[in-house]
Amino acid sequence: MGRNPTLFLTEVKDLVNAIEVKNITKVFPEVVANDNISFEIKKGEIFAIIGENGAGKTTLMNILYGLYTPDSGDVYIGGKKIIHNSPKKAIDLGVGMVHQHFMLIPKFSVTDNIVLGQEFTVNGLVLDQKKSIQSVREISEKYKLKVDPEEKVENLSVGVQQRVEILKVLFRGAVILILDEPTAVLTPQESRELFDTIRALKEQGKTVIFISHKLKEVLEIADRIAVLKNGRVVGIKGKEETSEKDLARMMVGRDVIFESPKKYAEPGEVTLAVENITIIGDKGIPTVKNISFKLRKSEILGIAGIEGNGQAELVEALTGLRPIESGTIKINDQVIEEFTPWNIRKKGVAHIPEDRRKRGLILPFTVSYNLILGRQREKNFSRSILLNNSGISKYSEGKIDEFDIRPRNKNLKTESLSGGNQQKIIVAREISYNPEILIASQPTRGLDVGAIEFVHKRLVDQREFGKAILLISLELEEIMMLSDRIAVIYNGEFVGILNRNEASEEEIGLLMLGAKRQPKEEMRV
Amino acid sequence: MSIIQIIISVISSLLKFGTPLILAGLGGVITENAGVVNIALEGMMRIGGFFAVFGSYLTGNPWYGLILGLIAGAIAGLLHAYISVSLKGNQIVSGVAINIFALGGITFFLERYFNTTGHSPSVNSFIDKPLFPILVKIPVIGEIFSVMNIFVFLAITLPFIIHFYLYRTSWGLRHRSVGENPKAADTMGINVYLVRYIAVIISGALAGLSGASISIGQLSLFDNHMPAGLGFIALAAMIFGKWKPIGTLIAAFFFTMATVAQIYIQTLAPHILKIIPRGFFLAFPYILTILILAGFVGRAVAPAADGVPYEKGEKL
Amino acid sequence: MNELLHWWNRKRENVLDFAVPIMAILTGFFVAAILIKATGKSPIDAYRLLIQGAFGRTFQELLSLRLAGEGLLKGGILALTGLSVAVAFKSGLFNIGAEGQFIVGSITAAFLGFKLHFPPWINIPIILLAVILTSGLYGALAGYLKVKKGVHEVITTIMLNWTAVHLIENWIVVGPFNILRYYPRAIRAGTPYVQDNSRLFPLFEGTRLNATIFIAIIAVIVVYYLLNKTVTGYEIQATGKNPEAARYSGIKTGKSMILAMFISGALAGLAGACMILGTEKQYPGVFRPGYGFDGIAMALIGATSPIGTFATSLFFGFLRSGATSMQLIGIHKTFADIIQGTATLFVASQLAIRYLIMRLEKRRKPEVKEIIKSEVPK
Repeated sequence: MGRNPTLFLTEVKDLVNAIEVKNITKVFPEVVANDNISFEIKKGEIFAIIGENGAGKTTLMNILYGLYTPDSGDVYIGGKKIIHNSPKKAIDLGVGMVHQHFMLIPKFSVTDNIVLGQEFTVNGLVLDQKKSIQSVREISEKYKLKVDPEEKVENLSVGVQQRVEILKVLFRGAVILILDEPTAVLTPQESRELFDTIRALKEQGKTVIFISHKLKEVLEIADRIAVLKNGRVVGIKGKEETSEKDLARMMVGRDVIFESPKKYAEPGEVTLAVENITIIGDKGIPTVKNISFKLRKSEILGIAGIEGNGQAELVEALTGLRPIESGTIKINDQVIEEFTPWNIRKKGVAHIPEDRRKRGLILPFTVSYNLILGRQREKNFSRSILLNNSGISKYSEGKIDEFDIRPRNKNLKTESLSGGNQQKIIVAREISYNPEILIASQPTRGLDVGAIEFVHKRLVDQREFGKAILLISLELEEIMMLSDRIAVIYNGEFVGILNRNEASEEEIGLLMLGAKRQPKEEMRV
Repeated sequence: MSIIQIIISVISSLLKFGTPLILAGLGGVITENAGVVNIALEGMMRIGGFFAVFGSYLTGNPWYGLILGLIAGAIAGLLHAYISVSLKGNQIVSGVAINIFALGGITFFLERYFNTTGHSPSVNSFIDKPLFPILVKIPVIGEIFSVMNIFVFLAITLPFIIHFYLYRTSWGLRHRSVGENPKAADTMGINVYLVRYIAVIISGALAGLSGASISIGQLSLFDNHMPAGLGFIALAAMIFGKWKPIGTLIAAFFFTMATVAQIYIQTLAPHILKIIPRGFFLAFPYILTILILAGFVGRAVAPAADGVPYEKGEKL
Repeated sequence: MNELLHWWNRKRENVLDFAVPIMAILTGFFVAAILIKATGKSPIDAYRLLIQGAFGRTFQELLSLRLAGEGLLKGGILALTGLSVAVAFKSGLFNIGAEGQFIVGSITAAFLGFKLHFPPWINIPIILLAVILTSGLYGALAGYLKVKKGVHEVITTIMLNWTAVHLIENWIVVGPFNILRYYPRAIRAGTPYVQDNSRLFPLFEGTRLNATIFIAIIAVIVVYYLLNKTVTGYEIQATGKNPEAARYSGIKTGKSMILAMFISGALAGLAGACMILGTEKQYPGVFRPGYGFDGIAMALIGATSPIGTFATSLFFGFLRSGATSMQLIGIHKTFADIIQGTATLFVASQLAIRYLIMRLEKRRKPEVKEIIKSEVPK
């Protein structure tokens, strides 16, 4: 007998496959991040992997890159089975990863960041700076990724930092590039430039794995698209054989309803008036410039924009975490002088923060202690200097029922709850605070569909009760679905404020990208 | 005494008393640039100081003492590395524990081998063993070379060698990358644990050497009070020197100046001590460090990942 | 079996909290036993002597507190410095400065103890209140620098320790408040002796045990109530566990930290005052008994809880007083420090144990696969 024909076949196939993944499973405590995943990626292909937050995309990529070891299953790179993977081995096999959070050292120069680990040296030890800079310049020119090799990374814009990341992997001779949500932090122009780069890389014979949760851009750039849901591959489609709607259905598991759950109500009087405020960001330059708007009772004002256009700083100022440089903020006609969280909270402003683990919850505290966080000095929860534990218990049990927080145990440590239920604690707390103004900053980030609907419904309810709600979100659909008015922030400025019924998704999109600007007098301040 | 004589004598004192600070401070520089905080410098100096005397006592040769002190410090460093790198323990807790351990442990050894809780008997040391005996004969500046034993020599050369290592070599680049962003370093194929281990062990060795520079460099015995807080001043010098080797050298001399000034004023102008008591001179480095950190005098920034345990496979 | 698993799942954290200190101390004893063995002595004999030295040979001797009183006295001091470190921990701060706050309290007690001439029931409370104030402020200074200037408290408290040592021992004690200023023919170094009206006298004949232990017990109860039952304690703990979220919720985290450091300093100062008014009777020329650093060990081994810290402190109090009697067979009493050091090292690496247990659990729990959560923690 000759060779086993199937075996022979696999070997041939290996020649055209850059990566082959067979039955990968990876379990984290309490979460199956990857569940029996298999696929093949051809050489020279742009392969996209999409899925909601938490679908397991990043875990999968970290396995390919050797940062994680799978609990079971095999990875083949360039036809070779990988055992005990490590980033070093992945690099040797030509895999390069551009992380979602840049892996750069701000204090180092561009060149030092790029050559780190594979430095040019004289006699094996002393750095050869000249040669390093020269070679960085060369690949930078070859792939048309313009950077100044001697500049410190901390002085670069986000887009340029990403170029440095890509150069890093190209410098290591990567033939397979993994880009993890590369456009999340980019401006539209930068995204376009990135896509040009990706196409150029493909022409040079590189394989690109593109991870995203944005359907449009995936359809634009990818050859084939794999959809991940709950750690499993639910489908792999060629670009031509699928559509946005098709992909969305696969991602979510059912048809997505782009329909608003709200009724319309008549906005009331102004409760929050922001006039010409300018805010200085962490790098000492203004990140919010001369913004003005009014927020009325019984309305939801949505702030749309791409991440990093000043939303975070605006929210921090409105909640008292960051001082404003100039301008005024008035709550119920009272000018705010003291920018501290307690002072602003006292004025009736509640806030659902964007990062619940960092700002929303004390994770080691019990559920009931988190439900009263910030209100511990109120009469129901304390008697003079002592905590009123029976009052706290009774209150918590009520809220756990009302907001369906699971498991129904007020004495559990909050860290043991799922993300969705943790978010419910925050929503319950902030809404029960009975604020006049509710600032909801990315209130559904990282939640599953059920939890998202829950949060949306609560926000709309609050509007019905006459509250003024400021909604900041990166998800345009969320903004479109919930808002009465929509403000668009771009590069620290409001480039448009529209009534919901006059706004089209397309127009908002153009404003977000900075491609259009509404004349000042037309803004619905 | 003529002015020149005083200056020469002050320089000699600075070299002599600055040496332990520089050596231990460099130990701090090495480990903190790799992202591991070492507040156990004090304890490691104590361990090094004792074993240096012990080695010299056993062999009669101070060189063996030096080597034993260095190795003992390195072993203490290994322990700190094991706890803070492998076990990802709290680095400060580990440092405190080593200090506590050194305090009791060395007293135990002192009692066990020298039957005292005071100080050890005299051993052969590097006192009056200048490294360049010929240069001592040079008039006027010869005094400087008379104090220059092996420890002093290392203290004034190592900062430059370590500077070259950290900023001019590929290993140094990797070393600093681990202190700034270990995850980035890991993704570039650098073995974060290995770098940190080596850094902390070298840090322990330098602290051990520093302890030896007191017990068999300045004295010929181990006193149970050693090193009497010098490890903490070394820490202060490292911060004052902005986590850089040459900065630490300068800071160490600056701090030593306070002690030296106090000694000279005592002999040359004792009436000044009536106005400004000794305690103020001695407390000066510590108060100054607080003022610097509080931003009243310049600002100091630590390596970005200093004190943060690194866990491979940590969820992103 | 299933019930056992269930119980374990519920109580896992509590069991670990309890197991770590005990394992830490056992490891300490084990390492010390090896050292004793290495010196050619029998660890069993040594530990028998230790227990007899700590409590007495007979029940009567135990009750007479002749030996046990010493352990209670040392335990009381340790508990005060241990609580000091523990309270700071609860607000998220690592107070390495208990030593400095301890001697600030000591010099305050030595000074007022000498100067005040009221009857004891006025004298002593005034002194203790003054100590709370001075040491508390010294601790609060580190808190202030952390809150307002962003200086890491570990560095400031280390620096403040030595600032206190030098200013007190190389200035106050040798200068303005030296015994020779008041008694020119005195032969002892240090400060003048405190008035009898300021002394904490032994409670029982033949012992040195004084009111220190009661001050420590009161402190434990106060700290426990403060942390767990009051609004202030809630705010301190919220600050310690997540300062960002606490601040966001409107808690004045800076105030919480400074307050915690004030309490921390005050407790360390009380320990110093107890030693001066009880056993030392003056501030000696050099006074660094190391109780401040020991306090760190007590708090860490006691898992930073008030009760745990108190229990640990009593344990080490007895260990130290008992260790003296081991000198009978030529084992030096300093080996108590070795047990303490080893135990602290063990606690420093306690994560290792937790990891180990977690890994064992993972192997045992394949059903974990079934729990698919919507979100992967970032």
